[in-house]
Amino acid sequence: MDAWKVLDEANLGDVLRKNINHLTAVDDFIKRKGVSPAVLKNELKGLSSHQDDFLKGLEISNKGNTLDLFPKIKMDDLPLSQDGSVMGRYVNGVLEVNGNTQVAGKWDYIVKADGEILVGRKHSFMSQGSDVLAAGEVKFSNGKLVDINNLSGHYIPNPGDTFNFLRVFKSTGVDVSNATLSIYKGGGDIFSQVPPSATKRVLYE
Amino acid sequence: MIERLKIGQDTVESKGFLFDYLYSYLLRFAKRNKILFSENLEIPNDLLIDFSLMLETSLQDLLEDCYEEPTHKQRSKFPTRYQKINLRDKLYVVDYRKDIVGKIAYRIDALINRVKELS
Repeated sequence: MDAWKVLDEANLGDVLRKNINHLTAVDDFIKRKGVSPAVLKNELKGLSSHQDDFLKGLEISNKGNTLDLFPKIKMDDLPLSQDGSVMGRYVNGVLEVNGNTQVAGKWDYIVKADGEILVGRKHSFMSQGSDVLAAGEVKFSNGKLVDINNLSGHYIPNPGDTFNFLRVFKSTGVDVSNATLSIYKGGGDIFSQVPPSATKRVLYE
Repeated sequence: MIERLKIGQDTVESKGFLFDYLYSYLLRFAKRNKILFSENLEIPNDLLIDFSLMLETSLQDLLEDCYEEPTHKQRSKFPTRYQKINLRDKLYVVDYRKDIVGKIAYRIDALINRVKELS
């Protein structure tokens, strides 16, 4: 089993190596996606305390990235923003904006539990406090989605939540082939970036 | 560690860093007022005003030591990242998404407003 070797060489703790779900997930993922064990091992080494969430992401990927498998993110205990707006939504993977709004620059987004993606200003206004699958900012350039991040002041998705964001977008039909996934830590520093051309990209889709 | 505050009928929980920052203030407040606590800290109704003042002090300490005024360029480039905080006749503009000081300050301000509504 390749998974034993990958997890062992990544110096993961005993608890993780004994988790049969994770072992199976890694093995299935290697076979299904044809990913190099070395790429997987290197990524695991850089994830510090988030390895468990990362491996759960692989489990979801193995099961077909269906919406109800993704963990829901609760809003922090804060009042809803009153000064937000919904400027558009994705319908069948295509962004439909209100009026003459130009698709450019940075916008806020949420992915609701039913997979509906709204873009606009202020996450809590758009969600009205409900649980989400993803929240942060998206960036558009020349009408294309070029960056997805996890910066939300009300939801604060941690890196473990954010490993799934490309999968969440893809599972609703959005084209993420030009988008970098930018993952921020709770303190606001960048944790990791996954550009479209990265070898490790396959681990996040 | 304190994981939630009970204020009247309200329970306040947060994703970690708010209580990490407030812990020493909450500890001193509880000891001074002889309130027993574990993961839960319950604020009696007759201490709500004192509690609100303590929170204001904690927020002022944070902002006096750590606040940096965002530039006009930062605010126009990322307009949705900022929130305004009024504290003791001074206006602060904090980045509540990317800056840890802004995140904590915004949460304390929201908590102060909640306590004031209840007191």
